[in-house]
Amino acid sequence: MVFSSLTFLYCFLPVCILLYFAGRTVNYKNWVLVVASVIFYAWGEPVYVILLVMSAWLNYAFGRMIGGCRGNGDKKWMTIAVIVNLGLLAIFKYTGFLVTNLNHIAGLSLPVPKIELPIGISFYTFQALSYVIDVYRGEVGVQKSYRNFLLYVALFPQLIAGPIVRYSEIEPQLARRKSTPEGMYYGAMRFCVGLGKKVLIANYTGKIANQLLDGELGSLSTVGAWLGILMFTFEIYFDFSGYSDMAIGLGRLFGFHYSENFNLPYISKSITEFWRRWHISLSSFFRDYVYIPLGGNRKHQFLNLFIVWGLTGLWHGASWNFVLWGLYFFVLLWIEKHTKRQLRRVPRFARHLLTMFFVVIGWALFYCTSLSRLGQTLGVMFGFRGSGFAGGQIGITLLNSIPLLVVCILGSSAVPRIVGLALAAWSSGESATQGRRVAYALLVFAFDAAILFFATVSLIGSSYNPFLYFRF
Amino acid sequence: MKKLYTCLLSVLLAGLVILGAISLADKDKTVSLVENRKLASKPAFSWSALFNGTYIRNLETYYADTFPFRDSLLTVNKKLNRFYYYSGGGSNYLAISYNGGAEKGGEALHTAEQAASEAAGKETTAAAADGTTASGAAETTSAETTTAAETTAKPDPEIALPGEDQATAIGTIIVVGDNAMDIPTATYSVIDKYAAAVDDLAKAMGSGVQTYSLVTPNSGEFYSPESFHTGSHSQKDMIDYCYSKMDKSVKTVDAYAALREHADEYIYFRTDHHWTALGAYYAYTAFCKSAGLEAVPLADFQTGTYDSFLGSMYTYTSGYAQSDALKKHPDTLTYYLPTHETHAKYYADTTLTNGVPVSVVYTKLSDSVSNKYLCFIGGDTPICIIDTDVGNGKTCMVLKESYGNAFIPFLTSHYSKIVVVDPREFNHGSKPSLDIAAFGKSQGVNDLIVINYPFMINNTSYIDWLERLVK
Repeated sequence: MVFSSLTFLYCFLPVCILLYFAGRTVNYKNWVLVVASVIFYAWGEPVYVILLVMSAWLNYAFGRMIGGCRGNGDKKWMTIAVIVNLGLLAIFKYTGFLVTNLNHIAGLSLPVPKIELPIGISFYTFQALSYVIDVYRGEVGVQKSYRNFLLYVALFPQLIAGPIVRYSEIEPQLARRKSTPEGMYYGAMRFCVGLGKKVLIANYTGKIANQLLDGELGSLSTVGAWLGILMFTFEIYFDFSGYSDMAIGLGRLFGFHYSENFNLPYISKSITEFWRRWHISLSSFFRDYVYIPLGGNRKHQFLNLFIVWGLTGLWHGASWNFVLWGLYFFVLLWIEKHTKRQLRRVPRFARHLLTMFFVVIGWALFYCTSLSRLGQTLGVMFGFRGSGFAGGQIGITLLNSIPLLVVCILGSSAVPRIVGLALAAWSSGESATQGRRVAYALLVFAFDAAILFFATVSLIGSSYNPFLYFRF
Repeated sequence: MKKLYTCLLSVLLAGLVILGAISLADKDKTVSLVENRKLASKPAFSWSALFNGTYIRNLETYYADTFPFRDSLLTVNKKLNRFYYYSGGGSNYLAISYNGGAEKGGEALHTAEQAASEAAGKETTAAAADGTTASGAAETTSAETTTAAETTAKPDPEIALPGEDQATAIGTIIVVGDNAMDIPTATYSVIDKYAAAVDDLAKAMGSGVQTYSLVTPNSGEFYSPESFHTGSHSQKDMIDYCYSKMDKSVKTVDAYAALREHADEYIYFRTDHHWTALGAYYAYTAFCKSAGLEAVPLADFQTGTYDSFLGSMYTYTSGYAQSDALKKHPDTLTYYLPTHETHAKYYADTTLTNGVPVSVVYTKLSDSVSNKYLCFIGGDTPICIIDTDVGNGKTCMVLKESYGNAFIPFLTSHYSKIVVVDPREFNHGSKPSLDIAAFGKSQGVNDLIVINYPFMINNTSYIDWLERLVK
């Protein structure tokens, strides 16, 4: 199930909330959430839900084994756990990719198995892995309750698209947590904001990106290619960060505090800064569990970074373009590291533009899963191919998407945050009256209720399917 | 403040709960008038459907289709689209992509009636046959079928909703002012295959049969902004290329030049993807030139009109504010009646049993038939055989999609018999089989006319279906 669906918003969520607050004990509440989460997952993956439950059980058992044999075989169990987790990930996510490449390299013609990717496997596998490693390192205690462990891995707000929550963050909340009216209110509003980002922005930008980039590339113009990639740039940000907002919001509703996953990445003035602001839970996972164990910046840093960025790319999908995308950032970061002094002299504005230029090119690598299409798309973007600078069909599409483009640019800038903070300061400072506080709460409510309404309209609109005997 | 938060949260939750409760408890609509289609119904549960994911998927579709206040929300969505698809200050521009579907078959007046006649057996057929043999049959049957159409106008999704096995044609629809056009894009490797398919058909028919190929441009070629009919969208290039690839024995018809010459006339609908009968007439004059026939002058036809025709392009764009301009200015369909007496029936397969009478041109379509283009031979049927009182004994076979429908009435001045075949209806899935050579021989065919518009010569599924007619 996804958050941005009518069934989630109007059936699953209200029932889940009502049941959750119908009982008082944490024990009861945890049961509600665990059952809800399994149903949530099974809704989209009626078969692979077994894999989720099994993977969680295995990691629960690994945790107990490691905890049970401290200093005497715990390393062995940790190693087994890592192999099993990465093995499952490899089987379900990378088999097709591996076999295809093996065929290619060795000139074989093994049948390429078609294994459908279980939703969210990359996320929940990483969460479970971080737990097992943390237990081994002695950084967190062993979870004795399988139900609570399953709740950690499979809690539906973060189950299928992150953030990758660390066990250490959530451990105390599994046993004791409080939903305050303030927290719940914040959570509900945050959820609506995320929903709006996904349904009211990302869905539309995505449609335009597909319209421009999925067709015959020979008829695409340079302006069209840039608009397409720009739209994808916005789609992936609003989609992904919207999902994180919804996860964080829903978490708060049930008393969980998750760390932020995005922090206005498109205002970055360097690639390094971009990666501190983009998908924070993933970069910190790779930092803590790959980069630092490999030796970090103490020994063979070049190699370590190469490995980390190659893996970061591969984590995003089983295709070479993702690896290329990861390594592209490796190269950029390496260059940036060694030109720090020169870059400091470049004006901030120019640094921002330069950073975004490279980020956008990065999204072109990310978008085109076939290398030949990638080559063609880049060719069109830089004017070597396609139908000229602004030919093809771009005029009307560009005109149609002007308001959306403005919303995207403003929405991904710091403007909304500045306005929000100013309003919050106005309503909560020492001089703030009760009237101001109420006005602020109502304003936020009106804004978010409007988002919910229009998101519903848009979701219904996307089911609009006028009947046509069309082609003939 | 705690109270306020609790209160606001309760309002929000109550909203979700109430709407959710209504959504589950209310009586579901089965038909959407706004969208002119049947809404999804509750899927039947089965374990296999659950495990392969289709059950949940269908449940989601059903839920969205029957959501409370759906029609009102759709109206709001159209307003919302005014923002997402900005149309320019005083102008009216829209460009959207679409996945064309419905390649399994077209729309016909009689779809449901045919099923009924088949079920009822010979009695109905006999009655229908009586109807045709009676003089002035065309008019009486047309009145009958129009009433029948009233009940059958609600399309049956079974026959035409795109299924998973169908290739989708990806293209662009643009609205410029009050004119909506679909813009084809050339894939020359596919056009090669189309030309080869026509060659194969010609070869299969044998040397005694002359094959004509007529590829007509659509309105995008003449009325779209320049960039939509140049480069890979140039329909002239597509047609020229296509003809150049065909065997010399196939006579190609230069409909393009004839249409171009009259582009300032009303030769295409603005709200439908078809040409008007006038457009088809000019293509017919080009055909006559190729075939060495003398075209009947336009003035010799009796004519009639249907007003307020809103066609497929309007329907397709009706979710967008830009479609209002089309609605305000609907099309008028002018038809030209055959100059000779005609008797026509359509059949489900080559056994030619259980024929159902049709009119070559319907003059009394009821208002409930929104697709006025169906007035030409009653829309798309598998096989339609038209007998005329042209006494030359010549027979032609026409392979066509719906673009051919407006063209066929003009042929009735030149052939004793016209056999119309819709390639989409044969030789795949559960459809009956048809061997074009054998069927052509049995019908005594002299000429074969293959008529299509540019989307079809770029459409691999359609080309496959043409190829499958050759055994």
